[in-house]
Amino acid sequence: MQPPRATASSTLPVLPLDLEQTGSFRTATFAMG
Amino acid sequence: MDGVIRTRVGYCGGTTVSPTYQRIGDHSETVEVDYDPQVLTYDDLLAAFFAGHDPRVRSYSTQYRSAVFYRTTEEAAAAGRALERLQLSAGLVHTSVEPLSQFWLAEDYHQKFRLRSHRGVFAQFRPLMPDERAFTDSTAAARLNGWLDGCGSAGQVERELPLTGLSEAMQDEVRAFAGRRERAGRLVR
Repeated sequence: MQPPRATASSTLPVLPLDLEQTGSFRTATFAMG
Repeated sequence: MDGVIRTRVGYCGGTTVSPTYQRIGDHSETVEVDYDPQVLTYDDLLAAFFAGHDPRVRSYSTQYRSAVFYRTTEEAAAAGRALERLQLSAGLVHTSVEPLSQFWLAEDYHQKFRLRSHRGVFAQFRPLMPDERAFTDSTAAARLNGWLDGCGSAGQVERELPLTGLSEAMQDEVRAFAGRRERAGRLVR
């Protein structure tokens, strides 16, 4: 089970790709040596 | 890279419960990338993954190996295709493609290492976050960490750096680092 994610806060700097604006996302996982 | 929402480092691939850096057990050090599939594809990430290290070098430790941890059969197929293409062009590649079991988040001090290492930028940016978890999960922190490591295109920096909450002077500090890899002809975007 994945650990819970933090909830986006209005006090955070806002970037075009912040989760609350993007709405959905996927996750990829790598080990890079 | 445009389309990356956030990055977090951790441990996975092994069986040890609640691993830490000191007690990593049979896990590997990994990076988890949250991305917007409207902007970035899994194939794009695979290309960046293979360009970001040398998978031809065999690792003799489980902690530092080359691996793709897939979540879906589509991701497994894409990773397999990318691996085959690389093997045709580069020869033997020591990258493992395996299903993700569980990702364990690494300790706070490992998250956004480049950003933490720049005392001035970190001292100004960190108080903008309510807690360590918000800092770790922040898109802005991920961008700053990448820029300070020399990543990022000029366009991305100009578009997004002013949105990080940093002062003009501190933004200039970041600009001095950002884009170095692109200018050197290495990993771009």
